[in-house]
Amino acid sequence: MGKIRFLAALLAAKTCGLGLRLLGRNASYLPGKVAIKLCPDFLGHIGRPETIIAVTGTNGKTTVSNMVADILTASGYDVINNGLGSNINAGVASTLIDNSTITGRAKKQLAVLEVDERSSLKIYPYLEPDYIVCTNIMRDSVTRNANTDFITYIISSAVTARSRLILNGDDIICSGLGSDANEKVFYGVEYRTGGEHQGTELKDITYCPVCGQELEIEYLRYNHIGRVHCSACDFRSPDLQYRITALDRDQACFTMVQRENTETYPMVNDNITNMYNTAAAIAVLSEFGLTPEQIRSGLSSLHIVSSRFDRETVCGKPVTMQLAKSWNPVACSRAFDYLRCSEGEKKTAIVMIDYMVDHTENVCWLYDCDYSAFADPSITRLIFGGPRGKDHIVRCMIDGVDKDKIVTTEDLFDTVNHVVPEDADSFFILYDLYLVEEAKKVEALLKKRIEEANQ
Amino acid sequence: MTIEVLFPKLCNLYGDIKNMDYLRLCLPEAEFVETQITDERPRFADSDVDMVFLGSMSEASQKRVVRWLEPYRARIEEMIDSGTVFLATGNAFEVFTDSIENLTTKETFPGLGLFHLTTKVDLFDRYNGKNIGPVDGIQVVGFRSQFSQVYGDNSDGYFMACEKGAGINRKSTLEGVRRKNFFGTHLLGPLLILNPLFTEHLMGLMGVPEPKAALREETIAAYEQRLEEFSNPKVTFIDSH
Repeated sequence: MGKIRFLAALLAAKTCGLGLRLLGRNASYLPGKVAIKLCPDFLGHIGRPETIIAVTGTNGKTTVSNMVADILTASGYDVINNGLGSNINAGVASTLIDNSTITGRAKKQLAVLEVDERSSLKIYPYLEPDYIVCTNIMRDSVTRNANTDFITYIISSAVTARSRLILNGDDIICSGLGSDANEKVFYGVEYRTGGEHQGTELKDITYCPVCGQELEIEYLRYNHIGRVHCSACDFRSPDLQYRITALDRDQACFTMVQRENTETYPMVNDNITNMYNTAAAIAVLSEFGLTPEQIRSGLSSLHIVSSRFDRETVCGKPVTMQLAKSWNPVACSRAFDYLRCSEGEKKTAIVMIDYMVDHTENVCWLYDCDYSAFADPSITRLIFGGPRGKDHIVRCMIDGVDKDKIVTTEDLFDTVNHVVPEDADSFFILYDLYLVEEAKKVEALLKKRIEEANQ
Repeated sequence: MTIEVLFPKLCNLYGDIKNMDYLRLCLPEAEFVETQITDERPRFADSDVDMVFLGSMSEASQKRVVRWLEPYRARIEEMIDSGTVFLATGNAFEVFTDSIENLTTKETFPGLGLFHLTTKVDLFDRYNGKNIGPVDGIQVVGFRSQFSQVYGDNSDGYFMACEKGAGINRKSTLEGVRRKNFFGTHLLGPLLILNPLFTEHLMGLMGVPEPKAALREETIAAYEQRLEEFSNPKVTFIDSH
């Protein structure tokens, strides 16, 4: 009965996918949703690729899964992945349906799947990935992800003994995932940047998970990312099997000590969060069996997708596009701090986050964000676009940002009209994932304004 | 004036703890005492304080907080009866109920029992919502996001009679708990910042003459915008995720 139901669900899903494609629509979610609706344990029946690499975590999972899939493809592997689709169970099912024959057998034998943390229980028990990479676990959407204890509970409840865990060893929450039954490999970034910002950002873990005493901080980069130990018991951050030990910006490369060997790799992006992402990708690819040469070759052709980060020079002044994911306070705080750390003494930033049509979204997350980076004197003009301008002003002022440098406007495209190109040496557009198209238009308007001012 | 902030390194979710940063701006002369969960005793055990604040925590932390506060249950009750201001936001007020039952982990433990209500936590049922309604005659607005529902009769003392949005559970219209100057509410995040008039009311209850909220012009502007938005009939007040 189960097999018949599965085949019926598969047929319905494939028909649905075909129909969507004929209509020119995206088929990366609905076929899987149909399949799971008709056969709730569909993922337990669909043909499983021989090797599955799952990538999860609060921040960086899209970047890491794209990196891993791209490097594997560049190395000659035939890979399926959900990079262009949904990362919940229906999206994963859609990807596997695409990869299956009419009887449900897998066509390609290597899958790289980005997995939403909250969907772990609906995916891992069925697919039992060979590798699960977790980039980090931090506070995220108040309404969806609640808190890190909840997310940790969900992931650890879902992981089976079959999965080898590739974990961020500089994240004491992430590194505690799974159980003793899981083989674990830890990666991290050892070199210090010297520019760690001591802002108002909150930490998601302060106390020892074993004895409850306050952890001793050896150093912190941001939030709780760093190295800690407990003086009351023997708990400490785990030893790293993959660690980036040095960064050479001039040569655009970095050094990684991986197990017993030291390797040099080309740098994709010098943002510290992307260094962690790169370390995660190298760790899982190495464990999978790729050689350092293959990884080097793959990394050399990569760049962070331009929907997340982009920089151009217009009339001699840099214009940086930086994703700042709304409702995700740590990701936003990182983007704000990247602005603070970037070169320039008179920076103008257009900030387009927290944009909802009904104008009434839960703004609690703004108060988990660290706005103190905006108080830096190098940021001379802040222009908030969208309906929450009044909230942003209050939020900024509570973190000590001078009100005089803040401008707000509801119209996203009007933000550009408040830029004074002559008064700035660099420009930034911080934008939400849901505002990519609007941000591109703002970028074009901004470039035009800079060029006009330069004539 | 002394304000005791309980466990700010543990109970700091959803922006709740920023209420205290704001209150510091409102009351620059006040002493803010931060008592951590690893400390031996609270300040209020040995001397009077003017306000006690406890913010949102993870469901896994509620038991630890109850255990820490349990020896001071009688003292807390004495302070409530004498009119000390308490503010417990988000799921913090649940630790003062009779019991907390986690339907997902199958664990039940007693709360402090200062309010005869029971709390049920379901990690697979995230409740999100908003509320608007009067608190001591002041329109208060706020946001909800929780795994819990609270059951029992709170008609003798509630935080808000909701004009819009649910009360202590989806079927209730009476939100939170209230006993003298103890304010317990599921509203979370920057409650005081979103409601400067309510903040001034609390400051008055603490004995501040002619209380004036910090950043008054800016917070009132944001508050008035939100009042207007919350009056929009298209706005939903009870959502689930």
